[in-house]
Amino acid sequence: MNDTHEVISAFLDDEPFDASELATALSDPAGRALLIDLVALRHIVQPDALVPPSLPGRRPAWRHLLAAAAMVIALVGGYFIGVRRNTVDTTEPPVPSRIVQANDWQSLPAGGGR
Amino acid sequence: MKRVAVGLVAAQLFAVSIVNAQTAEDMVVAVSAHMTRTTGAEDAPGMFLTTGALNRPTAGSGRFSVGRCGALTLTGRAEGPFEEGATAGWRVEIIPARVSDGAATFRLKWTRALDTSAERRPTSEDVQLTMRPGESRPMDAVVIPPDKETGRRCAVWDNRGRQVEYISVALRVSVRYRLWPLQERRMMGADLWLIERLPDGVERTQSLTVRGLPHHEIPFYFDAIRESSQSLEIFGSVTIRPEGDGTAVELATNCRWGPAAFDWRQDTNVQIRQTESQLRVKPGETVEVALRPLGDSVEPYTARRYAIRFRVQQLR
Repeated sequence: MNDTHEVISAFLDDEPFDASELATALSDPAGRALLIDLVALRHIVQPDALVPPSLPGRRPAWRHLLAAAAMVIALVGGYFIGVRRNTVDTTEPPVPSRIVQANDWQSLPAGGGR
Repeated sequence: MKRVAVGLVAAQLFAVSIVNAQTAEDMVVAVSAHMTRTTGAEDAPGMFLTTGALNRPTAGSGRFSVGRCGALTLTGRAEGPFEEGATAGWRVEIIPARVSDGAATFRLKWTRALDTSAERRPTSEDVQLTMRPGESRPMDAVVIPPDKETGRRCAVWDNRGRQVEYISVALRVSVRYRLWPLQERRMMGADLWLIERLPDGVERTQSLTVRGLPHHEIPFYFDAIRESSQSLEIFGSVTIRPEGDGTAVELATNCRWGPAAFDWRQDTNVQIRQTESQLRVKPGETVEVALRPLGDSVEPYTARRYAIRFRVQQLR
């Protein structure tokens, strides 16, 4: 095992290591590849039961209902705000210096016109 | 008092001439060559003989030579020999006269001075024409004969580096803006507001900001106004032309209504109306164009009033 391997391994194992040596090791592409390999290896061999299970106990049912209701209100409210924003813009237009009457509408034949 | 009146009229005429000069500065007259492929489609024009900018009366003159297989050459000056081996050739001269109210008046002289085809008949024209930018007129066309040596059609390179067989070439005269879109660096912007006034006095507004090139249509689309199962869509284009100390604006507005739920493959039942407004605005000025009522047949939008308010500016 060379120095590069040792310093990266120590870093991953939470053991004491020299920061400058680690920087040197990671500046080398081979060192970075080794780091990735070791992380992947640790991920594979990590035991599932390392994380302690949450403490037993039941939350009251009303809290679940409250959370669900809040979610529904947020979704429905967001939808209507979105719809409203699409049709009504609160940006106030500037006051016009003059108002011009448009010409009469011209009907275009179905499927024609620009 | 008389002096003042004369002075005012003179100032107004001077201002008009400045505006015309500004418009003319953007315009040229062009004669373009249009090649038709043996498959039947016409290529976009790839060769142009143009005048200078129309604020100065700079004539354009040249000669088009149609070579073997339709290889086209444009040479400066109308007089002079055509390319060696050319099967047809035109001498063309464009002499600008004036620009008035956005339209260019010019004299066009052309002669088909060379034509080796069997149906040989010299053709020429000497006319005065008045056109606005975007307008054009056909001039003449010749058939490209098969290759003299092989007796078969042959291919030439087109502008995109492809080998194409052509069957005919035509000339067309047009008035257009001097700069191609890729060359144009000026950028115009428009703030647009659609104002909807309900019978109960409530006013609803949508706003849009669009930008594009001068003299080109800049499309805009407001959100559809939905009411139960119906939908009213207001959209169109704004064309902005810098002119002296002001700006000419052309606002083309369309309204289209029909069922809110639609199948885009079968949209022929949709009702469409169109209106156009031409205005001159001062820098920073906001103008409202009040659209005419939509009429009784456009329920539930009949009692509502619509207007488009806009403000334009040159962004660079």
